[in-house]
Amino acid sequence: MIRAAALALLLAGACARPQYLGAAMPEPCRAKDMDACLGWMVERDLTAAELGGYDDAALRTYVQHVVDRLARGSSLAAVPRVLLADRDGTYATVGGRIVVARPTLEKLGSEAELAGILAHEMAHIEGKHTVASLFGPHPDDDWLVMRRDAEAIADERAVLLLERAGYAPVAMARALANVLTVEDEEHPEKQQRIARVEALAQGRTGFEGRDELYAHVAGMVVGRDPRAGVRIGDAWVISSLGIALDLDEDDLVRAADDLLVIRRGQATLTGYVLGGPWARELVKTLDDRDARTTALGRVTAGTIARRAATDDSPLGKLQRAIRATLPQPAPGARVAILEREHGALILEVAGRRQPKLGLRSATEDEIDASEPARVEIERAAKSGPIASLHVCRGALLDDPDRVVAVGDSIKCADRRPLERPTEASDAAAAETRRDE
Amino acid sequence: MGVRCLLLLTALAACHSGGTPRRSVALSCAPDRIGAVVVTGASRGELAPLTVLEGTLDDPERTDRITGVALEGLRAQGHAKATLTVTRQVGCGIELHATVVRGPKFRIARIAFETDDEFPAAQRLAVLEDGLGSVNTVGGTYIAYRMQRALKELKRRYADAGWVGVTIATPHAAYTKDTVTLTIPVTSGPRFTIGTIRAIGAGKEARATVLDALGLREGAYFDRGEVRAGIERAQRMLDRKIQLRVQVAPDRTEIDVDAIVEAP
Repeated sequence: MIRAAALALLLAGACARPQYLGAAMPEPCRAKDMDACLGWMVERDLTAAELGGYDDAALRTYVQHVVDRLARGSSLAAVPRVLLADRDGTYATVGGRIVVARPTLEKLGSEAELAGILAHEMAHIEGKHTVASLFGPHPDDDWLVMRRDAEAIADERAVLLLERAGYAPVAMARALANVLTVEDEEHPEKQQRIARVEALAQGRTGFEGRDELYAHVAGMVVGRDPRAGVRIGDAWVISSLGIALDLDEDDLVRAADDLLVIRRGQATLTGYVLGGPWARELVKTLDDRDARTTALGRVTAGTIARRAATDDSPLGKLQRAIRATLPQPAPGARVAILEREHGALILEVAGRRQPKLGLRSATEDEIDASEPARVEIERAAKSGPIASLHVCRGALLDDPDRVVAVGDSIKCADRRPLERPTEASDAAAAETRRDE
Repeated sequence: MGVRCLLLLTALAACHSGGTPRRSVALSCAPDRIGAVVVTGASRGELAPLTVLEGTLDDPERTDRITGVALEGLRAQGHAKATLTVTRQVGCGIELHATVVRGPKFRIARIAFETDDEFPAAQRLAVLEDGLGSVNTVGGTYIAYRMQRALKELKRRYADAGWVGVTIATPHAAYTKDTVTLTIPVTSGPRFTIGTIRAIGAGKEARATVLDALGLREGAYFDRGEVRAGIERAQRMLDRKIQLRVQVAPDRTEIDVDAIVEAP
């Protein structure tokens, strides 16, 4: 019996595969194909750590088909894999992933514009810009110049990829105009970018596909998804986890996107949602751990420990580097982690006294009230500029100056979407007292 | 691109594996476009930053910068003495002809630190080693400017551990046919200890709490990580911001630690 148990243990050890966020690492990671391994990790982060994925298989498949079509005219040996994200920011990652933000999809007017955005990211992968940014001639001094070069090249190359795939090259300029909202020093100026791609496209037309895009984004969430947390009456409701946090009369509440900060007496609570696997890893590393099973799920309190570097293997270093980028409290923070079926709530507690948390299950009414606004496609009953037609029950998501004919698609929201608070304006705007 | 991406990229380091790209499709030949990039002496994938210029606007200055990037990419693969020459010809638009002479592929045979200090030897090497263990590590590729960056970090680690006067000289690289041996002189100087520990700016009781939470001992080797952890503990206990001030004593090999408690 002992020999059998020892043999079983030995076999289990031999077959043990390295894990990352609760999943066995795939073959590329074990074979030290770090490029492919990193791509897998990025994908795992999005779903298992950040709960940042946007779960719509049909929409993902559609966007993937556009990438497949573009890839045929590219120099890529492998077609990049599309991931949909619920937060702002569309980008290419190492390991051939293209993360497409739902808010980006919301702003686009045709499949050709979508193809333009995807082609830009594919050009970054083709040019190995992610790697090149590390190996530039003067990475400290000229890093920004190199970044701007890479962005301009990706814009211009995208025009060619559109042309090769049969899309209208002129759509690239419109895509940039629709998507770019803020200037930053890593990118050339918006007007300059648009002018360059317009010069390359020279008015050349091709497949546009407005109806195709609209048909696929119909039903997509619009604006900030309140299921990640929204104030309803006297409670903060996180319907994605099916829970609510009761607010006291004297609570000072501040909400920044999906981050909730409550000043309660002499304590401050900071709450946000995490993926279950990442939350479970954090739970394992807590100092002074105190776990209790409650009606809502397992709640573990403790202090975030400093992580010592124990594994200096390449894979160990890689995991550490990536884990350091995941959402997590600072070492030394006192936390309570509530594990639920579809994720976890982490509450950081600062202050001298332990406040009463006031967590409970969300009611059906609260969950109903947390439903997000969604894209709704209407058909024009009359012709003319959209602004003159008085369409849309909720908000108009289309270009109000676009002239439509009878029966044309118009993009609307089925109700008024929540505004996505900006970093700058949020603190002042969202700070409220319950009784104000 | 956010900080997160940069961290990921840093972790990737030199480990990007090139695929087998397909031949490019013929382009429309506009005179202001780069119509083709013809590569000899390397695969197109090895010069990806350059070959992706096909179809873009012709911008000679930018092409020069990208040529530098592509060359650094080759050198990052271990071809430390590779050369890359790009010439321009009018053909289908502008054609770039890139000629690569790779030269030998060098691997690091040994990294030696000239020092007898007590800084952990494994940590010294780990700081130098890039992301995934393929650059600036034994068996990997030597990239000088990344080594300089790593040595800055190593110097900081030394200082954090109490060797505040450490100097680390430029590594000496000795090449053979296909290997390189690195020698790094380190003058660590004396290791500083903790001098006085004071809590400033609060009531007597709060100051005592801070000193207790810091958990530091006068005369122990200075360790910035431990000091920071102590400050974090004290902040949590008091729920007040505490500013850390460390001062190197001018006439002693000691560092004085002040924890300044901010007003509530």
